[in-house]
Order: sequence, then C-alpha cells, then structure tokens
Amino acid sequence: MQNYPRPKILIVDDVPINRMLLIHVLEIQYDTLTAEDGEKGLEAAIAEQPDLIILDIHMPNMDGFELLERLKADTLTRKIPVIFLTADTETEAKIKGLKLGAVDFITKPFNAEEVLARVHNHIQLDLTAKLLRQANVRLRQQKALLGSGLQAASEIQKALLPNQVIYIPNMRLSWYFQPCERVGGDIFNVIQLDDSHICIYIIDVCGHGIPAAMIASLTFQYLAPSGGNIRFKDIHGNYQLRSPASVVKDLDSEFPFERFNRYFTMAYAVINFTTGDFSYCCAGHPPLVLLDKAGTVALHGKGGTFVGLGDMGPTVEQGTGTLSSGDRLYFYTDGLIEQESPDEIPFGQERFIAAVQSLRAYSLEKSVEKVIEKIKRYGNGKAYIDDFSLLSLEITL
Amino acid sequence: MDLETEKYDKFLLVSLNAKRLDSSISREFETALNDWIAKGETRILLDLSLVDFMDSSGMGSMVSCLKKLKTGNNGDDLMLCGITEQVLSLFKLTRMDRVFTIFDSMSSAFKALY
Repeated sequence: MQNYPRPKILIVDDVPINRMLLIHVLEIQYDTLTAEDGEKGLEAAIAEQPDLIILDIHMPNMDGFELLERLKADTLTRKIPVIFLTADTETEAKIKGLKLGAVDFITKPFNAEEVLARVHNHIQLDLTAKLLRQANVRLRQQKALLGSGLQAASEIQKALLPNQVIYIPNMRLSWYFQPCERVGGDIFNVIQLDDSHICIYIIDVCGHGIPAAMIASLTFQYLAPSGGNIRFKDIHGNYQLRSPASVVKDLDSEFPFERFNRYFTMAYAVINFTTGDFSYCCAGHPPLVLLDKAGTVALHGKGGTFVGLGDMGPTVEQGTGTLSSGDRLYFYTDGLIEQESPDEIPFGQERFIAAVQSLRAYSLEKSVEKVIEKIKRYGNGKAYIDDFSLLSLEITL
Repeated sequence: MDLETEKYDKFLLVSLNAKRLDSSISREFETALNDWIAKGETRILLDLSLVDFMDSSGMGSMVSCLKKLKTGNNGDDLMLCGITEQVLSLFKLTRMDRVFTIFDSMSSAFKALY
C-alpha cells in the first residue's frame, strides 16, 4: 500500500472564526492552509497546489463565484476539486456554484462530521482521477515505444523482400506485400541458385502479427542460399540443388508444429530460366497459377499438407511443368483469395483467375497493380483479416 | 462462442455453436478443447455443422488438439463431422482432409464409432 503525503486543503473564507473552525475539524487528517479573500485564495491555489479547496461564497475583493470561475479557467488549478460554503436557504447559489464546476457544497452552519465525510469522499475521488491520469500518460509512452518497435520490425521485414530490380535477363518479376498489421506472417523470396536456375518460395505462417512474423523470419533464414538447405556444393565445387519436395520435408523436420504451436504453408519452386522447366511443391498452399500468352490458365497444386505436421501428413509429392515464352506464373497466399467483400463473401480463386486473365494484355507490373486494385475495390474498405502477398514472374525464351 | 458437449461411452461429442471459427474465437476454442483433453478425454467428435467459415487460426487450434490426441496408434483422435462447403474446400486445398478423420454426417460417425 503506497503511502501518500497527507492531503492539503486550502480554506478560503473572510471570517476568521470560520477558518479556525474548519482547521480544527480538518487538521487531524489533513494539512491545511488558509486565505482571507478571493484574491489571496487564487494566489495560494496556484502556488500551493492543494488537493481540495473549501471556499465561502460571500467574500470581499473577489467573491466565491468569481474565485471559482478563475480557478476553473487556469490550467494550473482547474483540476482541483472545490467545495463551497453556502447558507441553507440559498438554492440559487447552490445551483450556480455547482454549474460553475464546484464538486459539492456544505451548508452553514456546518456539521463537523458532514464536512469530514464530504471532504473525504472528494479527496478519494480526486486521488482516483489523478492515478488514472498518470496511468494514461504511462500508457501513451508505452504505446509510442511499441509503435516505434513495430515500425522498426516492419522496416526489417520489408527489407527482406526481393529487390524489384531485374537480375535475371529473361525474367520479369513483380510483387505485392500487404501484412494486415504492421508486420505479417507472409514472406517470399527469389534466389538465383546457379547459372540456369532460380528458386522462388512463398510462405504463410498461420495467424498474423508479431509471432507469425518472427517465425517467417526464421524460415527465411533457414532458406538462405548460403545455409546449405536449398543448394550445396559438391566435391567438384558445383552447386547441387535440393528438390522442392526435399526442401519441404527438411522444413517439416526443422519446424515441427510443437516447436511454436504453429504450422505454415509454402509453395517452393525451382525454375530453369534457360529452358522454362520447373519443379515445385505446394505444402498446404494454394496452387500456382500459370497464365499463358493466349490467356489460358493452368493450376499447379501438387504437394503435401502444412509444414510441421510430420508423419501425420500424407506423403509429400512434387509437381513439374514447363514455362513457354511469355508465360506468367503467380504465387500468392490465401489472404488474397480470402479477402472478403462487405457482406463477407471471399474474393475466391475463380475471381482471381478471371482477374489475371482479363489483365493479360497489360505489362506484368501493371497486371499485378491492377489485380491488387480489383481486390481492394472488392473489399470496399473492409479491414484485411489476413496478410496477403502476390508474386509473379514472366519469362521470355 | 458456445460449445455443447455430450458424453458417449466411446467418445465425447462437441458441437461448436459459431458461424466463424477464426481468430476471434480460436484461442478460446483451443483452451476449451485442451480442458477436455486434460480431464482425460481421448476421443473427441467435433460437430462443425454450424460453422460457415474457418481460417488459419481456426485450423491451427484444431491441428493443435489433433496433435495432442493422436499420439499413437491407440485410436485416440479428434474426428470431425458436419463440415460445410467453404470449410471442406479449405480442408481439400490444404490436404488436411487426408490428415483428419472426417465423417459426412453425425449418423455415419456414430455408425463407424460403435
């Protein structure tokens, strides 16, 4: 139990006997100070910052009402609770005083117990208000700190995303990343594995926000090209590329569900950019959308279930395909498909396919931009319920 | 979120009375199921016939419970019935229909379990 210093009460009354009586009643429990008129009362209030003010209405040189008005007008004193003294018959005065902002009144001649009871209640109320104000200040400070932490985390996450600059001469890349909070559980990357291969992966950790983002970062690190998990150098010094299915199985061992009580979905593809051949694995993840020059769509969804389920899942399969010149391949997370309209109907895979087909004539970058616009318009301001990401490539052979 | 349970001698039937199994209720749901598991329930049949929508948090809470129960070949399991259209397509997309034991209806569940 915290010990507070004794509350300080300022008594403003021009009649000395009244001041003495009040001091007598209050001094056992409270510290008191006095002022003999409104003017001096105002000065004392500003200087001493009492916890409560008792003032009389009828005083020369600024009466109680004017003092009350001045106290409420000054930022230094307006929060101090004021009780005014009034004669029993003065109903108008009571109303006026309360309207001016006094918290209570005590009728004269006053009863000592009544004075103590009312003063006690208002001191308590005021203390609670003070504690609340302090808690709010601390909360605002914590929020600001958290905000800047989240902002930093958000910058870090964005810095992990692939550079928009084309680094494969015959491939164009375009992507969009939208965490539903400041950081998200989606991550994706494009990595050149050797002279003729790249890998593309997209990962969606279940849930969203900080915990999902942290796990996404761990998977990102695990899949770094230097880590030996997506490619490794053989004894001749040549890069051997791990197949998509084996990468998924490794991740499954490295990130079992029990580790963080979360699973993630992933699409991982290895693409030969000189021939267009690719192999891939979709682990619990929406299928890749292949859109050819003519506007025909093929879905590639072979794979397994969520990463992290280990033996519980079916055997992980791998799929293959071939890209022809001009083909576009889309990787995305389910947040994109599940974006809801105001009446809670998801955008859905069909609509997404129709959208990319209708935008075929646009450049890759423009088509990604416009698909995202369509989805946002569909959502019509409805808050994003999940992170969503879209990555697409176009190959020229 | 509202859970109705009925104890049968071969399993515990849990009916979820919610339209959406998503992040707003998934934690509460997971805690409730965990409580039953802690009390010694080893076979739970989950009736999801009132659930129109499930997202990854909902799926996550079910996977968590499945993992707790299905620890060996002793028949302990979290089984599902009454799966509606959207939820079923989520299961198919994620291949979780090959992980969970799913019954078409309560009656086929009862037939299989007795």
